[in-house]
Amino acid sequence: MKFTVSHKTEYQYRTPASESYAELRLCPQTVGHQVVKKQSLTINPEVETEQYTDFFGNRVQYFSIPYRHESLRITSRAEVETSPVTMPELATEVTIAEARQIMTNRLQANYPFLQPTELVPLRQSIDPLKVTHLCKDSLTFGEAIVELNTWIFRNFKYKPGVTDITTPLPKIIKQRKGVCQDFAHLMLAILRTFRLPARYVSGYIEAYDPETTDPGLIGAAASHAWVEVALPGGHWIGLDPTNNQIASERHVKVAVGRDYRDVAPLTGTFKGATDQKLEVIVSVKRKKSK
Amino acid sequence: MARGLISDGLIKESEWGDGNLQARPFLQPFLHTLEEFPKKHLLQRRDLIGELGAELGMHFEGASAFSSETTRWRLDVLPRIIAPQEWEFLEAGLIQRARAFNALLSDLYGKQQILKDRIIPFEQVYDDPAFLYPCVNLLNKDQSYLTVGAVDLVRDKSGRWMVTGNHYSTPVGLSYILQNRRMLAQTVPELLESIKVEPVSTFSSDLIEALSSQSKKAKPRIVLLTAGGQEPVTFEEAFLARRMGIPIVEPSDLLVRDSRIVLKTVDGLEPIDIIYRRLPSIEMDPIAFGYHGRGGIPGLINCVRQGTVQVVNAIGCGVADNRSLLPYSDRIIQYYLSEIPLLPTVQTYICSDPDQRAEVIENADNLLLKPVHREHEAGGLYDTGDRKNYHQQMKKMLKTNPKWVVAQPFIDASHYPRLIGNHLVNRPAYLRAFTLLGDRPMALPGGLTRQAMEDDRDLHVADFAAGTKDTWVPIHPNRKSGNQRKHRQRKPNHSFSDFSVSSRVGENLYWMGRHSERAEHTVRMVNILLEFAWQKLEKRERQNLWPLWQAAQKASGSQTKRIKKNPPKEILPIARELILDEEHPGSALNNLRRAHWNAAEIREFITPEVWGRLNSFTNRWNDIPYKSRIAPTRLHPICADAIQQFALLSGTVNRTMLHDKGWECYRLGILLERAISTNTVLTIVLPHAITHSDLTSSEDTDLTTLLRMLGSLDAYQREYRSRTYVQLVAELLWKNQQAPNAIAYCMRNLIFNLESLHRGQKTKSSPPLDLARELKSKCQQLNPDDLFPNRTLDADQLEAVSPEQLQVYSQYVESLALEIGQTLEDLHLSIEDQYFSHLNERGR
Repeated sequence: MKFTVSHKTEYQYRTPASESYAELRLCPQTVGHQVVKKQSLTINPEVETEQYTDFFGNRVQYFSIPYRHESLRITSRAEVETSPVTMPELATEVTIAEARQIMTNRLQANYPFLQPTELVPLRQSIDPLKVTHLCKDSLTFGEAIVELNTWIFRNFKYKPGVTDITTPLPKIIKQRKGVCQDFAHLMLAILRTFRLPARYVSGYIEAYDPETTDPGLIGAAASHAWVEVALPGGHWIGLDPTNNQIASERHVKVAVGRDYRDVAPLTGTFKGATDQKLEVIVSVKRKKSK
Repeated sequence: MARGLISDGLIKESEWGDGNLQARPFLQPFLHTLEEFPKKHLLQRRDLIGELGAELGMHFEGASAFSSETTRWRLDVLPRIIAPQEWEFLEAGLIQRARAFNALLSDLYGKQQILKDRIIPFEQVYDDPAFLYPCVNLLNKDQSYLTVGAVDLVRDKSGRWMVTGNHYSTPVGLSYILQNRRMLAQTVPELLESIKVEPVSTFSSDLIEALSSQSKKAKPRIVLLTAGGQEPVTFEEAFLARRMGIPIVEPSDLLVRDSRIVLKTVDGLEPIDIIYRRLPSIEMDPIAFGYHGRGGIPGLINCVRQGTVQVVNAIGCGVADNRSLLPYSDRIIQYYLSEIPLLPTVQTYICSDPDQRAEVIENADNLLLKPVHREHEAGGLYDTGDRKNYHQQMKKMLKTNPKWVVAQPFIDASHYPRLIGNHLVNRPAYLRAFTLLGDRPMALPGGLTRQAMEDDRDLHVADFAAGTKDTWVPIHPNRKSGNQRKHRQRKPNHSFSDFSVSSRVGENLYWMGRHSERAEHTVRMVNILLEFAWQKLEKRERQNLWPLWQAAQKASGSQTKRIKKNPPKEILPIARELILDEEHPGSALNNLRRAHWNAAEIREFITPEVWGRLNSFTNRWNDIPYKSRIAPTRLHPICADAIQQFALLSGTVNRTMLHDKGWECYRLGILLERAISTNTVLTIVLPHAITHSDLTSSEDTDLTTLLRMLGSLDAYQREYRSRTYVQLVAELLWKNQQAPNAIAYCMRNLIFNLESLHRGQKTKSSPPLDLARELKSKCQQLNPDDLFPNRTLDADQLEAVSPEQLQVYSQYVESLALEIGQTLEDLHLSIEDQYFSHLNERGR
């Protein structure tokens, strides 16, 4: 499928801001099941941007606006072509224990994705969930992770506004409500507790299929989040617990990391009054196939 | 004779001895001189060191490089002298170790070959909070990580030197070495002459040379970056920066602009090439590492990535201080250098390993437990000041988080004599030694020797040692000379003079001027107003005096709505509020405290004399009891005394501070604030005087009082030799260029200060200069004869002016004064922009 993705972020400052500095992780790259055809990034006020590739392989753009400015607008656009993803056969042929065993040769590379972080605490914090049976060593690896994905989808209610990035995982577990980033962190905590390497993914999703009358998917209003699980053989597969799906054609991936903090679309600072107005508009439009 | 001090036992049990009863040969000339030294003199010299130390302590309040040390400088009168052969070996070992750990860092932040080859377990590196993911692949292969390094060493009784720990991130203690040598050279020159010793004073030039070598530029611009505030290492940083001739800056002084790090100075933005880092890596860039400490420099990492700035030691170096890597020291040396390791490392148990943990738990009381990561020290876990609790805490940590704990045996360190009380006593000695990896790797000859003051086994660890010793390395007999290179002519370093005063310093001095002037202004006004016994005044008199109180309130920043329209019955609450109210932001007390705070922020730029003055003045006011209930009979003398204090303060500032660009900023603050204060008072009093002037009396009390409040009565009498008329008062305070409280005077001098600030620059005009000139000429063009009803001639004409017309006059004058006030406010903003925040500089 072909998509035009646009992500607009606009800050209106009550008093002029100055010394703005920001890093952006907004640009999809050509990886796995997606090919980026065209890409643009515009900053207003107009400044030059520079870029680098971070530790996790994400492309990062950055800029500074030292002088006074009353607003800041960042627009990222991309044309992306995606192809469908299915669970590789190998994953459905091995048990969890075997998968873990096969992956020991990549232990060093996967190490960061097995560790707890502030947003992804392990072990005791997920005890109340009683999910051990979902991750038993003898289960088939490919099926088990899809089961887990479904389990989160069924047991947690999508409800915007009840959590934010500072809400600790145990609280989300207790209230059984949250948004995509909470479910992603939750799934990471479970997978890593069972020593399965998993990483956080930020990106976009096409909410409504223009060709059907499905009820639509969740997460299109802003950046979406899901997880990727390491597969035996060195690949990763995306699972979207918010929508009970394998991340496939309708998912456009932007960045990966240990948790949200590694992939935040915009990390920045400025000097000035802090009660600025923020508006974020994300749109994912499918291009009609010719 | 000191002979009595030196016993055979003392020699036998210490590094002085050769194992038998004999003193080691290289010490002979020194010991001989010491023996000839009268004991009385030695004790006197010791006291002298105490005084010198106290002096330094006074100058650098709260200075302490090590958590266990008190602020007192406890330097022994006797040095520790390391045998030349031993030093030769140490030097080679120290440099070897620094080179190896530099290579380790370069690898860990690059290809991580050592982890791939499984020489050290990758978990130990990845789990270290000091290992920073954003720094991976940040530097080029050829860039250095640890330019300045230090390690802690212990020498056992058999004479074997061993490393107990690395300080490769931000090593502390250099200034102590330099100061110790200076103090011994001053107090016991005879001893220093008895033996030819390698100098240490050149180390600051070696350091700046090593820093410079990190840039390809011939004359790179270098700054020392401090966390600022009241850190215990402020003394060391200020000292080093001075010795190296580089500015000491805080993160907020630096800014990213066009992918370069620039320093905000009153002359504009100066690009910086090298940052000598003195704060923890994670505090360097909030974008890369999140907010820690004072916020860091957003975007710094990306400038490092682009190579436009070098940070020394490199960001992320802390992982080399990870104590769980100590057991791998030899392997690290062999792996990177293919050399035989020279300096052994003290055995270190890693408690994440189950077998080692079991051993440690069994022997916990005979081992010294330490946290693996220095990050945990900062969290208060490594509080060596509280030894009992420390050990308990570490044992607890061993249970709860064993992977964060390592253990080392207590090493029976060799002893060295120290003068304690009136006797020489042997105490175990430890050494912190420094290395530089610039173009020429080197070790600082000697180092900082530390000793426990008491004889307590628990103290037999360097970390708990409270006393220091100067450490001498005799010039090696077989070497050509003590570092001949040191005798060659050094090029003086000019970098300091290349920098102007930093904006932060300028801004704090500016506000110190403004706040102290505002406080003084309030005190002066209230002091005069309190002379009138409010209770005894008639209603009319109160009516006339009330605008002056209103003016005083307005000038102190009280909100208009809080100022009463009509005179109150009680004046004391208002006077108290203006002077001593802690709740009133504009009280003289709070403005004085702000001035003090401004000075404290830039402590290293304030002379000790000014600091002392300001401190004692502020304390004097802080110590006033019952501020909120103070009686008028006490308030008045407090004001009178404060006026003296302000005079002393400004005199001290003028006589002791360098009249550089920072001082110009201070003057700008004083003059602008004075102009604003005068104008605020005029804005209220002049319109009132027009409508209320009492013509029947020969003296206009309120106008006379106004002049006294502004310290201008004498000026008025000299200029006009007449009773006070409102238009003449206005003329004096608007237009006069000689009267110190007149707006024109303030502008004339302010223009002079602004021009001085532009000295050496091409630009001869700037927005503040234009505004100040504009305001000055505006004031001079005012014609009070046209602005006020003419009352000086005769009473006949007076009749012609109706109350309505008076109202028109009054409103016009008020609007004029408000306009001047607005221009003064604009002037303040443009000064901020031009010299401090640089927000208007769009592109260069």
